[in-house]
Amino acid sequence: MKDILAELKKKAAEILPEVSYFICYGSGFDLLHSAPLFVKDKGDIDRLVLNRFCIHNLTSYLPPQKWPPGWLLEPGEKIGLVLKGCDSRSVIHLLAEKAILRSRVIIIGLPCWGMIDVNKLRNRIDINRINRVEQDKESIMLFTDANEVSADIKDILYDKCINCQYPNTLISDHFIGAKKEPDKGVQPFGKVLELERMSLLERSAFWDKEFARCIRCKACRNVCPVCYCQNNCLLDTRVPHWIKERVDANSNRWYHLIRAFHLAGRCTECGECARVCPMRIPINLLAMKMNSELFELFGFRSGIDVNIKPPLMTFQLEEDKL
Amino acid sequence: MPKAIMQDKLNDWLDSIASKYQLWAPQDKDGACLLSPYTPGAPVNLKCRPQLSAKKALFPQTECLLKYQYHKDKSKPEETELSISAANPNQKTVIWGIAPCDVSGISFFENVFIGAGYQDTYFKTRRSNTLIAAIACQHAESTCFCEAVGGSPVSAPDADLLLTRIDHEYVVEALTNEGATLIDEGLFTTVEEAKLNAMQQVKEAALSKLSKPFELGSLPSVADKFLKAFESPYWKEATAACLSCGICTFVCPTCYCFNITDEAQGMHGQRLRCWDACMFSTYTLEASGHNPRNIKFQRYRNRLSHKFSYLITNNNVLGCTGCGRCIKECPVGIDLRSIISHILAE
Amino acid sequence: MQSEPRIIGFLCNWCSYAGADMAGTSRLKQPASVRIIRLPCTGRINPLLPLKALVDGADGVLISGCHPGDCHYREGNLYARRRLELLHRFLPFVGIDPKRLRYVWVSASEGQRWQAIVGEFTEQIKKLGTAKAQ
Repeated sequence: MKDILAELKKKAAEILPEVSYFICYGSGFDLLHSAPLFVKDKGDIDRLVLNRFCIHNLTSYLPPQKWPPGWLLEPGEKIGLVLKGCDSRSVIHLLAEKAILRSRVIIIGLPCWGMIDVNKLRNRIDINRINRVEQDKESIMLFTDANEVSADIKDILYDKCINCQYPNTLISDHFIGAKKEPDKGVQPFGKVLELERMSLLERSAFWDKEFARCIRCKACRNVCPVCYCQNNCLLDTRVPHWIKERVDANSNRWYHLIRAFHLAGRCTECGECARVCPMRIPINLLAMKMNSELFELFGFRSGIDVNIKPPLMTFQLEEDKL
Repeated sequence: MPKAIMQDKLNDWLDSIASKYQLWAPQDKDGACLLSPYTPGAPVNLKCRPQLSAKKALFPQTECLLKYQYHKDKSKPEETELSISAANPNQKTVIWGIAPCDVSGISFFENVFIGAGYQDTYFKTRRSNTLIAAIACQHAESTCFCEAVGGSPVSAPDADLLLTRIDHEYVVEALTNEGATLIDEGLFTTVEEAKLNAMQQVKEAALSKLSKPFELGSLPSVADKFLKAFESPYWKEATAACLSCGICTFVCPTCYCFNITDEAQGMHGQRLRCWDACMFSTYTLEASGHNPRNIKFQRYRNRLSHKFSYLITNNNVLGCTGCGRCIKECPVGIDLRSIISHILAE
Repeated sequence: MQSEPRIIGFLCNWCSYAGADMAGTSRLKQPASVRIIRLPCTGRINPLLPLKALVDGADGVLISGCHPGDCHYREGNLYARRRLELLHRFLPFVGIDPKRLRYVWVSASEGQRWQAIVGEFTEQIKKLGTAKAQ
């Protein structure tokens, strides 16, 4: 990963004159976290970081409605960014939806070996005392003053990274590093299947329990790369009064159902909604269920091909499976 | 004189408290650690930092202020009668097992809701019926900075009880007379000199675990520095990645903004007070369509300046307890500590 | 369960609404269980509308539009068909019985068909019992 980082810095310096700013990863509040970094000056390129904690989907910052204020672009100006394979699906979907212009982004692609879910490390070591991390493709070593553990990467990856089918950026202007082979195992809708084995009542109880925790901070909506209505979001309006102010399991369920339907055929399975949730609710399962049904009905997978129209934006007079 | 209780007796103690009080305790719930109502026998987790602060026990996210009902007599269609019943949340409550930073959060709320200017009946009723059992924090996280904002991980002067864990035992000090009534004689043992020394050592060790990311200086000078930094271009840089979500405000032990709405259903309804967040763009949206804090850096600047400047000027308190939740839960890793350091140095 | 279930009907103005009207004027007997909401086209139906009805405690939702190919606006019901099928398949995932939702095609001349559908669907909902308001 170190050689890729060096190459990434070189490439970033190269494209920086062409773009207004470059979105990438910098160090986070401790060694187990990275954070999005916005680079305008060449001097800041040294702050770039690339490790197993660069989970954020930087596509979230691409739609014009979400451009950071103070970082707004003039017509014709460009954004540069670095994208993992899964994140590039969001870009492809935004392009298919014509929500962004291809000519205004410069994408640096790279291979990805999966990102580490810090929550899966909690039981192994005191994650608040880590003072050194060593990582390679297969394993990771964590050190505290008193202790050290090594872990097999496969056991601590984010769920979405297990059996990743798109480890290489699917759309890019510059690709650095050698492409990685997709994983062999197939498990695209795994957790969804698990829930489907429950009875109707069990599932209802499962979601009641999960939604009772929701505090409606709206982080799931705001981080979502394909949620870009910003201030015009239905969830913020009082007229019509779609959603109650009250925060309880029922009202929260409705909140998440509204989101699920607005993501139908649009979710690119980056899993950011579930990652950012401070209450650890697996919200992404709702949109994944939508995706699994759309795959079954129309053979559609979002964010793979710019030229395929999302199935709910089109129809056939004679449908094969309806 | 402090008493001690063995770890395996904790549940017995809690069961006995729960028989007389509504009891809140930190518990694991499906991958999240939450301060929630205790059900007898449920395992508590004293090693976690609950995702939400203790404010929710005294200032619930959804609070019903009153209920109303319209009555109509069919023989007199032109007349409508209205009956209103106000809530009176006077249930005896114990908040158990919270860290000193959360206790400071509750003390902070007293400044706002039962201070000199305004008395909030609902908060006041709850607070005066609530006892707090704090635990000396030996689990400082990488995001903690309570000492830097004038707190301490091992003392909670505003609590009623203070627990300190020594191996498999908890030493319990009663800080108030009401607190002492919670100590159930049968379950506790007396504490000898040696144990008191051990407790002191544990507390000192906890202090040494903390990092101090900045030197705050006197409160008025902090307030002044934040005011001077109002126009600083740094705010835009620091908040470029911000998503404008409500996590930092909702998890914060001192954020107290709320919104009041009437929710009607046919002939009856409720007046609700729900948490609001100044990080939402709709928070300052005016009826005219104008929004004085339309841009996220303005909102973030307001949130921090409120805590580190306006509150000092108006109430002479700092609006931050150093619990670090906003750093830990921020989806894009915005670190309040580095922003404060930067503003203080500017 | 109360004598009649509460079913919300979303009906297209150009076909099913007229069909239901025809069933009425032809004095075809049917259960008084459906509260009809008239819409310009099934393409108008945001899936959140039937979903909201179900979440808020309707016992059933019956949606009816023009036969595929016969849409007054040429293609509204073709979009609707995809959306409603997806809604139908999604409901059980969040614990709502999909049998409480049905979408059908009834033209303006099919008063008898409407009568049959309302009868069938009401029976089906009666078997499921009262829905709990979520």
